Amino acid sequence: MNGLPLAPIYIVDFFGSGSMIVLSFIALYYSFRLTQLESKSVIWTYLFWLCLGMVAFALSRGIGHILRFVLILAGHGEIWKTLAPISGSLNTMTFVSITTLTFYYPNIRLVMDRVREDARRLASAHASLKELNQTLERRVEERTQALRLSEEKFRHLFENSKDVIFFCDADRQIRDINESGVDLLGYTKKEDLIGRPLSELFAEEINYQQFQQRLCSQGHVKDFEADFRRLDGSTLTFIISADTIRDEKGKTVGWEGIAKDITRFKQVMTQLMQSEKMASVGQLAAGVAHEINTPLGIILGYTQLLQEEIEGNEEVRETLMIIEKQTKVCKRIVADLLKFSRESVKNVISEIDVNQCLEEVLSVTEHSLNMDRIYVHRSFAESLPKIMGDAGKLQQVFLNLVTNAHQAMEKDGIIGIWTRPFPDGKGVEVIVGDSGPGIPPEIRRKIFDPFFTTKGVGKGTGLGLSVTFGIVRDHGGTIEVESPPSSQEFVSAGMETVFIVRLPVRGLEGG
Amino acid sequence: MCQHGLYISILLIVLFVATPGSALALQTHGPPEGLYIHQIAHVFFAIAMITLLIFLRIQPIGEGRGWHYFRISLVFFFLWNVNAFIAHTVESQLPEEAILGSGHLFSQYLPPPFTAKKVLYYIAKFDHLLCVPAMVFLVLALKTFCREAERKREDASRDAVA
Ligand SMILES: Nc1ncnc2c1ncn2[C@@H]1O[C@H](COP(=O)(O)OP(=O)(O)OP(=O)(O)O)[C@@H](O)[C@H]1O
Ligand SMILES: [Mg+2]
Repeated sequence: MNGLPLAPIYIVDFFGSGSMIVLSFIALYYSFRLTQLESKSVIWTYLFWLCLGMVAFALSRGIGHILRFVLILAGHGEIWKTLAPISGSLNTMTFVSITTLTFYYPNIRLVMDRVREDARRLASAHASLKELNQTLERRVEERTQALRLSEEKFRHLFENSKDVIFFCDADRQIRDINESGVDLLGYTKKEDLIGRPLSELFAEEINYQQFQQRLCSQGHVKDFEADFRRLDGSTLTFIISADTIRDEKGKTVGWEGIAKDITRFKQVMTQLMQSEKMASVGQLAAGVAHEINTPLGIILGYTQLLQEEIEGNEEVRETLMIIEKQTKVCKRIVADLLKFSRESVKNVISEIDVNQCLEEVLSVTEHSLNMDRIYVHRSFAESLPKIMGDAGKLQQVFLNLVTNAHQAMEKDGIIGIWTRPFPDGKGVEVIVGDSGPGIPPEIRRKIFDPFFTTKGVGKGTGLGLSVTFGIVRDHGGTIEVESPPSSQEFVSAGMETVFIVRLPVRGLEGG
Repeated sequence: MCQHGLYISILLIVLFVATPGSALALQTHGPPEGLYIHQIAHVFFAIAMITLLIFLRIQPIGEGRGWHYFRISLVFFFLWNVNAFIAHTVESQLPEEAILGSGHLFSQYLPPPFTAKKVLYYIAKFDHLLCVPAMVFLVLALKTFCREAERKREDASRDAVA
């Protein structure tokens, strides 16, 4: 044996190269599969390229080794001499490639990690954003719901309030008004009111001026009393509270207000005041009347005595006659006063047919009315409930009213008398009207006062209506005057003034 | 992409090398240069393997048998490169006449006396005993990865169905 044989080396080379080629292809196959299975992985991509490099290496080297055998065995050793450096260079190149790849991989991985981190952060941001969005939607929904409920609540309050609630814009024009407001002001549609200037509602310009001035200077108005004009021209008294509406900058953008109808309240109040006045004056009058009644009786008695004694002296007798007459007038006044103070005569209660009662009054007065060409228009309800009361006193009530009507017209005219049951049947309404000159507003509230009269001395004492008032009140009823009448029915009948007496069925009994 | 470019340029370089006359304008590359490049490439390859090993240790991508195989494969590749470097170095220092033979491959032999260099050369020449195992472990690693990925995918699809 001389030297180490190189054959084992060549054999290992030959088979090694072959298996390298086979193995590199298997590796390439697996790495390819990996990139297919998990396409997003950086490491598999790297391994795939690495394996590709390995294939290139195995081929260039392996084919080199195998070719070498083939060529040398075939006796073309010189060809191998030319090919060997190419194979070697290719090997070198594959090494370099693999190295470059390997060095580059961590970088890519770093970048990928960063990208992945960013993606993760983006995803979490997206998730939280999404959640925020969802909760936001929910929150918005909740808020909207709450808002809707609140809006419903206020809308309900606004629409169903029995008071007038209104909103005005900066131009003082009505922007919104509730149903009650539309109703109370006599309109049928809200739209008829919207857009109108607020000042139009006020019956008196001066009231509106005051209202506006106070609202502008103080920013609000509380319990401002004013009359509003209804569509039909009548008025209602309101008590108004209003506020200015301001925007964020404090600029006035409108007004809002609530107006309460106190017309009825005021009526009751005045009646109450009237009653109070009556009561005190009545007491006084009763006292005075009582005291005067006795001396008057004495004066009358002595006057009549003197008249009998002085026979023949006509002059003195005439003087005494005047004294007697005037004393009688005094006595009548005193009697009236006592009647008014109602302590004079005890009530005689009976069931009264109001129509009949009126007929009796008219039978007494109709003759003198006819003399003055005053026509009486009767409009009596056929079936009236009977009321409990003092027939004589009620006759006096109607007599007073008819007399006043007569006196107001003097000559030529119509007296209208209506009777009708209450809608619930528990009382009777009597309306006595005339086509006279009417009662001017400034004295309308005074006519029930004792001793208030517009008639000349000797003609009227001013006690008629106050006595009437007292009697009606004693019967549990009310008396009102309208001039001109509010009801179209009376107006078309030619009435200028109407007195409305309401008498409940059991008023006196109960009172 | 750049990999394609790389191979194309390799091909071009090969053409230039094969036809030296056309490369007059270029810097001439004498015979030792090829060897040096090849050796440096081996060193680079070795360093790359070590770097990857260290990198995988610092920032492991995964656990399990696959990665174990992969690391073994890297070690073998590293050793193969070292071995190849040694083999080339020793080979370059041995004179042509060190390998004797009648021209027939199987009758070639390494004549005595057996210096350390010659023995080293002889042993180092069995480099396939390093690179084939390296490749085998690489294949094993990839196969394991593949199976794991498949299993993962199956699990995912089963979960999706369930
Ligand atoms: N129908 C009427 N039309 C116009 N004015 C009236 C009418 N009824 C009453 N008045 C006014 O009311 C005033 C008060 O009336 P009242 O009956 O109390 O007193 P009088 O009629 O003046 O006197 P008396 O009735 O005591 O004789 C009257 O003076 C009159 O001015
Ligand atoms: Mg009168």
